[in-house]
Amino acid sequence: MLPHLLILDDLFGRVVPGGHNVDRENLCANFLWQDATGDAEANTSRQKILKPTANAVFFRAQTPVCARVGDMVENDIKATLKEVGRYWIPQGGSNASSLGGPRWTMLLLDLCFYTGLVTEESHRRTPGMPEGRPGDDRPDSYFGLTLLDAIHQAFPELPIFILSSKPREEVSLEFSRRGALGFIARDDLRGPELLEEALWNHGLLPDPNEELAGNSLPLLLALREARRAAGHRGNVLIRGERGTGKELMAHYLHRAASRDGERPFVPVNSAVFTPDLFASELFGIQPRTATGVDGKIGLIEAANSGDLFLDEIADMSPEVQAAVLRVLQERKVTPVGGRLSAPVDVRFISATNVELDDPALGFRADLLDRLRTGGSISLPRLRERLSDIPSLVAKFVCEAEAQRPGIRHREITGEVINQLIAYEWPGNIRELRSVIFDAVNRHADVEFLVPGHLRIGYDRRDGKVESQELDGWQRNRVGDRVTGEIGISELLDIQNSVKFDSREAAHWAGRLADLQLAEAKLLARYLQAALAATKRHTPGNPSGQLQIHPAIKLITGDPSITASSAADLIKRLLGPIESELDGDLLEAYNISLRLRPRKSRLTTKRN
Amino acid sequence: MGEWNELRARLSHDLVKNRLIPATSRMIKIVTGSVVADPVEIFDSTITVVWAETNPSLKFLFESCETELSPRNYFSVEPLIHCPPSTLEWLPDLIHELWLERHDVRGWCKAGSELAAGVELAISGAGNLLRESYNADEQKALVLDALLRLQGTSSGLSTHLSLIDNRFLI
Repeated sequence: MLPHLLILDDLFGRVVPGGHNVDRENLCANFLWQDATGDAEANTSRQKILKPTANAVFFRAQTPVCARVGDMVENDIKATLKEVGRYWIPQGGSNASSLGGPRWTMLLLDLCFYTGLVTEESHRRTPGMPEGRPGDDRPDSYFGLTLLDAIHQAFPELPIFILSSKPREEVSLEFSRRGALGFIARDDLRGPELLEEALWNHGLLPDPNEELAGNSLPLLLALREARRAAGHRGNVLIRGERGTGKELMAHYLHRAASRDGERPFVPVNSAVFTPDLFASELFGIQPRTATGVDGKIGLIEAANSGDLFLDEIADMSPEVQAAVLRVLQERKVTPVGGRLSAPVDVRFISATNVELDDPALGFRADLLDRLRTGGSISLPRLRERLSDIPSLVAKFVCEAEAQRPGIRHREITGEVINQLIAYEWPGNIRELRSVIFDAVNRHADVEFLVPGHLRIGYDRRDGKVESQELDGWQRNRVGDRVTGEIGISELLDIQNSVKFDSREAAHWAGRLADLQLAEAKLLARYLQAALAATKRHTPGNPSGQLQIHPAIKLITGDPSITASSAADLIKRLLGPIESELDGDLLEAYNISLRLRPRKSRLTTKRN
Repeated sequence: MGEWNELRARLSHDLVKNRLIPATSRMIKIVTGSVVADPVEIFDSTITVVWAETNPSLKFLFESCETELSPRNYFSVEPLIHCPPSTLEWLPDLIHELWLERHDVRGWCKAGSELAAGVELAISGAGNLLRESYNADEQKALVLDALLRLQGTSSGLSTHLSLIDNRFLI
């Protein structure tokens, strides 16, 4: 997607009656801009830009736009603010008209706007331009500075650069004070290069690879922070909830920093570093010819001259924290079994979904400071960038279809988008991706993605299950999601197809306890659904009475199972997460303990 | 003095900075193939037109600089007009000579005229080459060379016209 520029300038924004705005054509050719103004000048342009660097929209900021001899030209703040707002989606904006549209990447603002009467002489010199009034070209009363104030106040996040042929030194303090980010002299032969640099550092540019797809303000601001951080070698901390794309952001930062050539990018999950293994993994092993010990390059050395991405740094043990701190202080590593240390030039990009400043987490403050010497980037939650949902859905639909050769391509209906933006998305983009993949996989032979294809949990407005949009499959609530018979089959398919590549131990080592806990919680939610489905409802107890025996018969499919065996099974299922039980599960667990008391303890758990 | 400086400012800002330099940059983009347009049509409707307006004004600017800006002019208006006639016989000329010497006014005018002549030469050179046989690759290279020369001299002229701001306007 090309950058979308708005240029506020009396000379370039005017429409020349019965002729060509040569000045605008010159500027477009020089900067290789495609004139996207859509006015008579743009439509009758005598040139074609082969590889445009931006779409440029020109606006005169005065009325009339097309002035003839005898017309009076006046500055127009109100119309200008309206034009600026035309392609500006406010923070959190998600109304239908703002979804998926372009957004100004940057605004380029002239300083001097000539007003007054268009005379024969002024028109002869420059068609459509007025004579000018005293004060128009005085630095202390430039209309451009007045506009700058008004625009910056109304659109504080919109990046503004001055593009003028007036001397920079006349206004250098004023333009900074009023919120412009820089100044490009119109006659500077390096203008196009200066603008490219300005767009890179200050413009609201989307990710060209669309790995971090979207055009919302919070995302574009985060991408800009990453590009700015990429300009130096300081360590960067990426913060964001689960599923917001922290690793993708690390990739983006790395790519941005590698504009001048390829550099290594080494991703590591910090949780895999056990106290026994971390030294050899991080620092490597010195080969010993005499003893036959093979050498191994450590992760830090592998990332030399590039970036080491440490995911989930909150999971680092104190030993690993101390070791990483030492490397950051000394910028050297010593392999296990070695005596000599080697200098390394590694930028650490870390990611976390928790507030590491919280002393209760026990994360070293001195390490945290060193991990963010180059700044920190906060990734927005999906519910803060709802305007990105259309582009994300389109991307995920394409990806899901690409995984199923021969599948029909489907259009995305507006109702789907409306339904998706009404949800809270606690699992953020990862959750949205799952919902879309699920919808595509279950409905291969359709041309449209409609609300009935989606399996999403709650209506964010009232927290109730949207039963009318979940037709066609059995509905049971389990935690934050809804699943049923088809969901179980798919869940089993996924579980049975997951493999752990022995060559990628760094990604899965040390996670047995997590897997066991996740499995126990899954089974508990399964039991919870069965308990809810088999409650006995009576007039005296409309909310239903819990029955553990029918619930176990339901999930085992065994009508002959005894009540004692059912209680034993519940104890086995819920025992591993005993301390986390509440509601129906806690009640079922206590009933089971009463029926089949523990051998060493006859009292029940909390009641 | 006011009118002379207004003319200088208009030449510098409106014609050289805003017209001649951007038009030359555009022609370079056309010749190098980034922009598709009729080079002769664009050259004639931009550079030729702008220069036809600019060149005579530049000549006048440099030729009239000494007489228009000289501090000697202060002696023909209030209050210095009341100086004794005997003083007026020698002081204005002395002041004028000192001003010329101190600010190298003639040097500035001479350098400006030379830059304008350089621009004129580059424009006519590029125009002739364009009209001869622009389609040949070799000719395109010569046109590009002429345009780059024009860009350099125009830029130099722009800088030169701006230099006056803090100099001999007393």
